[in-house]
Parts: sequence; structure tokens; C-alpha cells
Amino acid sequence: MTLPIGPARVRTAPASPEPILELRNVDFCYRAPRRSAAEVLGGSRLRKINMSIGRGKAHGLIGESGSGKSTIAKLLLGLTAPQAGQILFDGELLTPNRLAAFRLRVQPVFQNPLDALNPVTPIGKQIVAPLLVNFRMRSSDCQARLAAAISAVGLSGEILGKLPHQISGGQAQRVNIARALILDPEVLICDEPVSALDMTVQAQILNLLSDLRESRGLSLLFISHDIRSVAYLCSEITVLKRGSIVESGSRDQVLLDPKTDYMKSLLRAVPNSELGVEMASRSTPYSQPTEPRHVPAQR
Amino acid sequence: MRRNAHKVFASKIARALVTLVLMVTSVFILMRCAGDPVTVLLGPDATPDMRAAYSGELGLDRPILAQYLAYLHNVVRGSLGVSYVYRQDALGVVLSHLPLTLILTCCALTLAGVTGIAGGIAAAVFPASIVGRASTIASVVGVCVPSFFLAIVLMLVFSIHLNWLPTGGAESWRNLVLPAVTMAAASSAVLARYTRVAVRESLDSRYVLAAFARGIPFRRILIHHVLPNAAAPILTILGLLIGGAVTGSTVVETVFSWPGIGNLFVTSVGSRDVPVVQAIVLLAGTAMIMTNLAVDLGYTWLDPRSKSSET
Repeated sequence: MTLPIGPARVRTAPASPEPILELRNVDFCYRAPRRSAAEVLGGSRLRKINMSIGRGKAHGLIGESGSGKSTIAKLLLGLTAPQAGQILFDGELLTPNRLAAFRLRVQPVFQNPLDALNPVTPIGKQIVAPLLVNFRMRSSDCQARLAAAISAVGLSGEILGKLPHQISGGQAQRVNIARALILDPEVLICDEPVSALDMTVQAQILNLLSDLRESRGLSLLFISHDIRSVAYLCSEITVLKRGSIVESGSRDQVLLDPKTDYMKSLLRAVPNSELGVEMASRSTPYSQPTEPRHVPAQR
Repeated sequence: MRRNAHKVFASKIARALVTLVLMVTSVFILMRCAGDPVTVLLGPDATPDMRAAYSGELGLDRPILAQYLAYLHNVVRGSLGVSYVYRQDALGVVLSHLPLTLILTCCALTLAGVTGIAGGIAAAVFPASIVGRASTIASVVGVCVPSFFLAIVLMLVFSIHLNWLPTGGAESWRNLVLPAVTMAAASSAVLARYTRVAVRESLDSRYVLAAFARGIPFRRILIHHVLPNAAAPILTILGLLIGGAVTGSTVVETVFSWPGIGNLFVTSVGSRDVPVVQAIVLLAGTAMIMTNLAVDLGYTWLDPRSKSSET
């Protein structure tokens, strides 16, 4: 397996309508010694999930807590296998044999950024670990990619020698994104990447993801319970309730013309003025009055 | 950074020295609380003249502060009095028994460390496998069975029925097997339980999930992510086991007639050999404090977060 050295590839926008990542009729249930009440009620089970992430697109996945959003992220990252149905990547069925190569092309960004970093390993070592392990790259080659990755997320080299507890939550999430970018992936699975961060840092990370998608042609699955950030970032939205998809379509369809009472109730919970701003100004920055766009400041 | 590390080490060593002084002081107070040493030595029928002569000889007629300072001076010099039974320097008597205890505890702790940590890791990584389940069951049994009972069972099976190993003494390596296994059983069980919990907790963490998602092989995740983060609680338990090993071998040494410090302690208590008991208590306390200091310094090496949290 080879990986180009130097700056990341820039992929052009979707040439083919074929999705890059797809779930077909996927069923999943956590194995438990005894069925819990939640399971009996269908709380921790995914049923007949059909979902696709378009090439170079940002796809939003929203739903209440326990609806199965993070389970879908685990399935799409190959961290767990479905009990029924298929997962297709680049048009090909994802099988255990293809998992190693698949994991290098699909990278995660998790919810609590500090939890996702090994507490006793310096940041720089954590970012380059996949290159050293999977590609057996020389250290000098790694340094070029490392520099490119941290500059892409707006961090300076000083952070590389630090330990996770010595950096802020916003910096930690940038490190997580840099760690994902260093492999030059095609898809980023972002499982609630901003929910553990404060508002200003949320805005910085959302802008960063949006910029990366545009500049690198990345495909994004953005999982969140915050409709405003999904409305800002994603062109396609899927709504999940108790392990089933209740609504799916383009951003405008789902947000402006919701079909289900569930989606309507979710929208009612968001102040109209706030969602209206995101809807009306999708090409303008996510509301962050004090933070200039494209200059992600370090905290 | 280096200056911070030096500060942390210096503060830990200072803390250990303070604990050492407190321990020595506690021993002094407890020995005085245990009763009048003259009565212990001479018995209740001693005449007042004899009592006065002995009090003068032992310095007990001086004020308590003067006695304490003299005691501290003697401890620093390593002079803990003369054994009533052996008629020799008490510390010398204890130190002559120390090598056998060290041999026994080193063998037992090595055995416990290897089996306990390996068993705990196996139980955490493969909880549903035969090895994992066996390790979990063995650790529960090991914690529940008292060492004197296990010692007698092992003796019955391997010494009396099979006639493979001797029941007591310290003549050859064959005498060492049963006491070492008995002593290792409980320590191994405790270590296995703590290791299993620590490794399981680390395996369930987000950074391990993230490492899996980045395509890092499991063996590397185990070595570079899981074990370094699980090491602190394991090191704590290991430290307690090592620190307590000097006195922890008392029951085993007595049952197997192993002539170490534990055995000496039991016989010295029986014969009211106060200087020897005092020397053993001080030695055991010092061993515990020194092990804790080593564990504290080990933390800073294993977990760099502890360096900055201390400063």
C-alpha cells in the first residue's frame, strides 16, 4: 500500500452520482445476555437502514439520544458488523478482507476530542502513528505529511510535543481532524464532533470541516443532535428515530418541508430565527460574530 | 520540564522521609504503650532495687523526650538493642534471617506477577474464551482461599500423598516450591483482578476505538495504548504486595517452617523479645515506605500527566 508524500490530494467534486459509502437494508442489534427494556421497546436496534453518502458531499444524520446514530458511525467505520444487510464502499461490498484498506480511506472524528487521544502519548506521535504502522514510512517522510496535516487544521508545530491534557478541547478536536487527514482519507465520519465544545470553538470546527470538504473534496457524514450545525454544513439529511430512518432527503426538503411529526417536533425545538439564519445563508459563515472565517484561531 | 521533574522527585523523597520519621515515632509510642519494659523483662515479682537498676541501664529513668531522642539516635545508628533470646544485636539477628525471606518473596512475587498480570490481560482481552473464564474463576478462588488452608492442602497433596516435595525447612530449592506457590496464589489472584479491570477499562476507551478505526493492529494497540494506560493501578497493587511481602510471609513461613523473618517474628512475639520485634516492625515499615516511594517515582515515568499535576 502506498501513500503519496507531501500535501494531500485535491479531489474534484462529484463526477459520478454513485455514492461513496452506502448502507443497504442494514439490521443491527447489540448482543446482550438479557434483553433490556430498551431493547424490547426497540431502543438499541437498527432496522432496515438504507442510507448513502454522496461523493464529495456532506451528509447529516440527526436524531435523539439512543436513536442509533453512533451505532451507524461504528458500522460505517467497520468497527462492528451488521447482522443483516450490506455496507458498500466505492461500489464494492465491504468484507473482512477489505477492512484494513477501507479503514485508511474512511476516518473518524469522535465526540469528546480529549477522550479520543491517548493520554500518555505526545500529540505528534499520535498523529503519525498510522503512517508508521500501516505504511512503514520513514520518519522524514512522515514529518512532511505531519506538517501539512497540522497546518491544514490551523495548528502550529509547538503542539506536537504536548500531551493531550496540556491542550484545549478545540485544539484537541483539530488534532483529531489532523490525525484523520494525515492518511488522506476520502470520507470523514464525524460523530458529534462539536457537541463537547463551546459555541465559539464549535463555529471554528464547523468552518474547518466545511473548508476541508471544499478544498479536498472530502465526503462527510456529520452526526449531530444539533439541527443548526447540520443545516449549516450538510446538503443531505437523514433523520433517525429509535433505530429506524423516519425521513431522508435534501436539506431543504427535510428542514423546510418535514413529512413526519417527529421531524416537525425536532424543528419546533429550534428557535426559528437561529435556523432561519443557517437556512438563508448557507454560503456564509456559521454564526460566529467574533471569529473571522478561514482564520481558525487556536484557543 | 527537567527542573519540574527534579522538583517532583525531591518532594516525593521528602514526603517519604517524613513518613519514615512518623513511623519510627509511632513505633516508639506503641512500644511504650505496650507496658513497662522493666516489668516485661523482669516479671511482676522483681524487687524495687532490681527495677531501678534495670530502669537506669535502659535509660527509662530519664525524661520521655530524652528517651525519644536517644531512641532516634540509636535507630539512625542501626542499634536497636540486644535480643533477649539470642543475646546478639537485634538488627543483626533480623538481617541474618532476611536473605531467606527475600528469596521466598522474590520467587513468590515473580510467580504472582507473571501469572496475575498475564491472567488479568487474558481475562480482559478474551473474556468469553476458556482462558479468560478460567483466569476469572481462578482469581476469585485465589482471593477466597486463605493461605494457611492452601498451604495445608498443598502439603497433603504434594508432600504426603505424592511425596514429591518436603513439608518444611530450607535445605534446597525443593523446599521453596510449596511456600512460594502458596504465597503467590493470593497475590496472583489480587493482581489478576486489578489487571482485568484496568485493561478492560482501557480497552473500552475512546482512544482505543479511535486507534482501531485508524487501522492500527490490535497487538500494537495493546502494547502502545492499552497497557501504558492500565499500568498505574497495576503498579499500585504490585507496590502494596512488594511492600507487604516482608511481613506477609509470616503465615506461610510458619506453616512451612521456613526460617525467615516471618517465622522469627512469630517466635519473637511468643518469647517477648521486644528488640527483635521492634527491629522487624521498623524493617517492614521501611520496606513499605521505600516501595511506595518507588511506585510514586514509577508513576511519573509511566504517566507523564502525574508530573504536571504534582507541580
